[in-house]
Amino acid sequence: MSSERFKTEILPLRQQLFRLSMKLLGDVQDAEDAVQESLLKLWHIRDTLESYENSAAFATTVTKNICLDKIKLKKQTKTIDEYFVLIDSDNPQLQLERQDTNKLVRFIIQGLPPLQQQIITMKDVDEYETEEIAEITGTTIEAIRTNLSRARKKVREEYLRIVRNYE
Amino acid sequence: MQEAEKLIERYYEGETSVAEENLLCEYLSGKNVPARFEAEKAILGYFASEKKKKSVWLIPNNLKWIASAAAVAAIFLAILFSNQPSATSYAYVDGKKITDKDKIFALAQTTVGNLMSGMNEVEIGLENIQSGQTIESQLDVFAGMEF
Repeated sequence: MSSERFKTEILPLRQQLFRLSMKLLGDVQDAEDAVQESLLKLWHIRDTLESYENSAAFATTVTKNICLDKIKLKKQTKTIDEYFVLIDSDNPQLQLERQDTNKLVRFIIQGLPPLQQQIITMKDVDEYETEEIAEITGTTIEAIRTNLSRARKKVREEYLRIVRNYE
Repeated sequence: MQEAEKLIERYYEGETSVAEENLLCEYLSGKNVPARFEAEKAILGYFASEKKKKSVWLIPNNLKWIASAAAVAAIFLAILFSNQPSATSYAYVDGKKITDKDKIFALAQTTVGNLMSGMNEVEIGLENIQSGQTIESQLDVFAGMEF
């Protein structure tokens, strides 16, 4: 599916997907996040969307699954202890080498809320401009910028907290 | 340095463009980066390594069909050539494959030469057998004698 077709066929479903998310999550912000997440997910698989007979029904399924994941995720939180398992615990005077640093940053990013995770990856790895992400999710540049800023600040804060804990 | 500081500040506000972020990344991966930029160095370093991984594997969308057509053509050609009988000369000497025509010819000649000398040996052997017969005929002299 071309990006133009995505914009004319999938983006107009936004309201419908938002209503579904509201029903499942009962919170405006959570529902908005779920819709943006769904649209980003659909964007990434837009090449295969044509193979679905009814792309609107498929979009609804994706959104529903994301909402259910959110409900599950709320029940569990990642802790710093999980990270200690990830890296070599036999070495108490561990220096954070490049590889370990990458592992740590990846771990922190995986702990971010899914929407923030998607936005930071699209901006910092896939090199999308904020305007493009806003267009894909049918939201404002400001909304994307705020989420991106939150995500980046959180990664920094967590990184420094874990590294200080090591020293 | 001040510029880097400003860029970092804007990076955390989500205000930098992709081009500015690449510039910042380049600065942070260099030498003499102040220790206070430790977190930024780690975070942007991680993103740079992720980008590198992607660039190795990713084929742009518009090139995908060309890539698949090329793959199909390659498989077709491979099948075509693997079915054709090979018209080249080769020989195995002590387990080593030799494809040079002149070398193969020279080797073949030596082998035939060896065979010829082998035949000579046979002839000598036969002569020996004949001389054996001479001994037998000499022994015949003793025939009929009583000891």
